[in-house]
Amino acid sequence: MEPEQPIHTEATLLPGYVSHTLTPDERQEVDHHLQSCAACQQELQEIKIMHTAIKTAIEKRPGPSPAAFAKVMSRIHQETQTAPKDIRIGTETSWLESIERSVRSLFEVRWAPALASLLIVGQAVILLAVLGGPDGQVGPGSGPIIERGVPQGTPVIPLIKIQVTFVETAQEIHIRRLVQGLGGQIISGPTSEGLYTLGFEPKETDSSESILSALNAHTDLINTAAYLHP
Amino acid sequence: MSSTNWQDLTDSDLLKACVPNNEEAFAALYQRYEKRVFQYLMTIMNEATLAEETLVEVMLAIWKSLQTFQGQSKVSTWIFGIAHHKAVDALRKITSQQRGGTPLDDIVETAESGHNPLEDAQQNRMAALTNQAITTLSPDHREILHMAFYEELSYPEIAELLHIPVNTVKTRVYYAKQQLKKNLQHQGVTKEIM
Repeated sequence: MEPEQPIHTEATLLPGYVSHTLTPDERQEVDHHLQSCAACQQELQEIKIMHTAIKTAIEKRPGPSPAAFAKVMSRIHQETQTAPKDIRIGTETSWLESIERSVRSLFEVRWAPALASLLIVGQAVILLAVLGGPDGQVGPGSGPIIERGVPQGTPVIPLIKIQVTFVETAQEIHIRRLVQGLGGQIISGPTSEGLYTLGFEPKETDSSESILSALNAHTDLINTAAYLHP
Repeated sequence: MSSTNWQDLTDSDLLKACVPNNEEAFAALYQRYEKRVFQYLMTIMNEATLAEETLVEVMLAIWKSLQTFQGQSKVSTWIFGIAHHKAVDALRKITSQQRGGTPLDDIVETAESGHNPLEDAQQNRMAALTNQAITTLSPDHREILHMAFYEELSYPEIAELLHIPVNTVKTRVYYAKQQLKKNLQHQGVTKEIM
């Protein structure tokens, strides 16, 4: 059985009055009513006490254990890693984003070793064709590759290679953004030691130093970065 | 992105930051709401293990539904709406015998204490009595008192969250408060205090 009916309709507004959640009109209505109603003044006092008591009581309860947080984040991480890119949980999937993701996926780390191998094989085939000359012969004593395969006067500029390890919390999307932002690409990795090899096209004489500095400045992502001598 | 100070973001901006699978932003959202959602679940369920299990379910549901948030209500109302549904589902699944759990007044003994031992003892006793009195209310009354007195949600927000008319919210809060007062007096809290 429910307790007795409220004496006045204004009495039902008193909890909101105490927590300051009434509209200005409602608040004014309660203010006006309280000036002449002793019963509601008494009710207001009780609600104030109860408001404090409930807040204190709930505040004093212990919170959840850290295990709950760990469990949620682990599940989320697992789902993010296993879900297909275009239907990942919690993402918007407009057609523009789908295209962007498809393009981006080409540059993802898992494709990098295969892509690098294909490029190397492709380059080797082209090189053999060029060096072989019209008769397609390649053999000892044909001279250094650089002298015969590349037209004279065209400088060959090797990529600046930097070997890095990322911090454990680094997310793939942030790694890609950083590397691409510096005009580079992931050539290979990770190795069993977690090493990635990044390649950058040199743009100035001291660019290897400036790229190293830029990478090392991102301590939130980069653990170690070292210039890889050819 | 790890340099972002998530604490400075509004609820709405933090939620938006979570959407492109940003686990870091979601961790910040989790930490912002975990205690509030957990206490809400504790009020309804009266059992810490069940409340914690449901908290995990609520947070995973939030993560999965991030893109469905339309911004028409406050983020907190949306989150408590999910918590309400998960709590109702969880309570449906278990029997009342399984919901015995740890009495709240036992838990209060382990809560943090302040500086004045006498004040602490009085506060702890009052908190324990209030928590005990809350547990003897019906689930509907426990929930509505939590929303109105602890979360300090407005009547329209509570109405939206529970899918009930605003006038029902007003009268339910009134009845719940009257019942809690009776329970406290029954436990020996004097009429002078209440």
